[in-house]
Amino acid sequence: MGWTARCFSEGDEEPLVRLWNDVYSEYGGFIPRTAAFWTQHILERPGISPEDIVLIEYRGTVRGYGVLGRRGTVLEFAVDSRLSKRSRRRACNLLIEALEQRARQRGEKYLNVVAPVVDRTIDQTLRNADYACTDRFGIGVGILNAKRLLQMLLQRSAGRLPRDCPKTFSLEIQPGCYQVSPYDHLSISFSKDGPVVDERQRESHIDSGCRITIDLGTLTEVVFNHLSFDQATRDKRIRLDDGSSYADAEAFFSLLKIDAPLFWPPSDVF
Amino acid sequence: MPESGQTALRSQLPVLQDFSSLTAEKVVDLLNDCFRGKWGTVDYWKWKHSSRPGFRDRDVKVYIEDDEPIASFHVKRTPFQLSPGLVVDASMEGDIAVAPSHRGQRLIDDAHVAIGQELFKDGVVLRIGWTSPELFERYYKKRFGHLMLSTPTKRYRKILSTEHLTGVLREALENTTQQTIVKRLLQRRPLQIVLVISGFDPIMVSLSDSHVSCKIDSGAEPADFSLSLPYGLVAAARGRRLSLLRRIAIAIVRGEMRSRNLLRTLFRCLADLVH
Repeated sequence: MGWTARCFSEGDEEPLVRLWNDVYSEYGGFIPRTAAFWTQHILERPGISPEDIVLIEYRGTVRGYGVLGRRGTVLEFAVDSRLSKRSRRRACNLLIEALEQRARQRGEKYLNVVAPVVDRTIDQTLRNADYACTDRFGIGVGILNAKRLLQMLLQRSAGRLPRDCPKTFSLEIQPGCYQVSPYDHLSISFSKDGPVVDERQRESHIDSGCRITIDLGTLTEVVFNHLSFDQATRDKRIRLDDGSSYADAEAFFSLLKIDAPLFWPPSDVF
Repeated sequence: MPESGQTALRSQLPVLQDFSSLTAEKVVDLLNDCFRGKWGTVDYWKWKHSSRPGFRDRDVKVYIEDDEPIASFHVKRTPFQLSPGLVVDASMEGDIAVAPSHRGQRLIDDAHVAIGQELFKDGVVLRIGWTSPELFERYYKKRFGHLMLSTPTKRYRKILSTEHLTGVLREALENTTQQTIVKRLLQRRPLQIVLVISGFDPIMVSLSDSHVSCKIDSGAEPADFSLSLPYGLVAAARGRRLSLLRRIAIAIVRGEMRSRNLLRTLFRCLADLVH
């Protein structure tokens, strides 16, 4: 027995959750699934029946699945990324066919599949199956706790700070368009125990080699890789105090960048 | 939390409250009033909010006037992975509804600040929300400073029903027939076309300079010409021009495009234009 398609049945939760976590764990936006989470998130969702959950198996092993939600939207769509390109295409085509069949049974006007375009095999297979790429999904993000975010980002990347960089940075953070901007000043120091981000009073003196003024909106754009440090300084959205080095500040901001591709399925949209 | 950037709730406005004092039905009524009846059912609301593991009454905030909710805000706190191994506490915020009678009173702004202060105390690092680009530009960007992330997340769509396809075709043709040359042509010669798109029922398209109609072909009306084409061409027509040309070339090579009386009709139309 080769490739087969079937509907969900009790006991499938674990392999589906494992597959999802394998396929999407490298993406930003990934929310790890457990069987309990998935049961509440998908199986108990009003309007979802086991027939709306389609599994693709190869020799009895789940290699892909999709969940058809309201208005023809596929809430979750996953195809095993460990398969060869050819087998992934095959699994993807079977999954699309099975989901289309279910959508037609339900009288849906169309089928919407949401997938990361960087997954070239899925992208190409969907296009070859006459799917039109309609739009990108938008997610709005705002920083609420800059101190904690910077601490976490720097913990991940502090080792990349060049040796000749100053070990203390001072950030004056202006609210910009933000209405909630809890920190005016942060100081960042790098020691052998790791980076420490601290709240600092405006008046307090800091013997920093690098003092930077930035607004929270610009910080958001730089962290999420929408704006380069170079562009931000040219636009005067990042300003350096006299005596602060451009190269030092650039090295500091390069530690804050998040560049993992972000993906979220419709099932996670709140 | 320092005071900077905070906005005090003004005394003349209702006070932002936790959900506990209300019934789910009233909140869902408000949501449906604000989302043209399409938001969903009470069961769906309960599943999404109050029955969700980890839900607390303060995850739903409401402004109340005369015992009725006039605005609602929903929050879900969740771990959010920024990159592999880097997970932050985040809040997802959505299902924001303000009764039409209370719009323009800065309720959203005040709630945004009050909820932000509460989330900050809870240790939330990022605020996340999904919204339409228009609403994002109007509120989240201009008023709250948020950023719309560009991501590789894409939506792929395929039409499945002939009824829906006729609607899409009509809309596209209405735009096309507004072009001067097409309008002139149709003034002289209205056209009846049968489109046979693979996987769908045949569609009768009637074009005149002032009217476009598309309906499932009953076979009763005569057509000037008929055209058979694969659905992929329709899908490609909504994308880039290069993709469309590529798809047309593929369709011709594969013999997926066929017509009857097309050339004859084209010559007649040209002759009409010349005379």
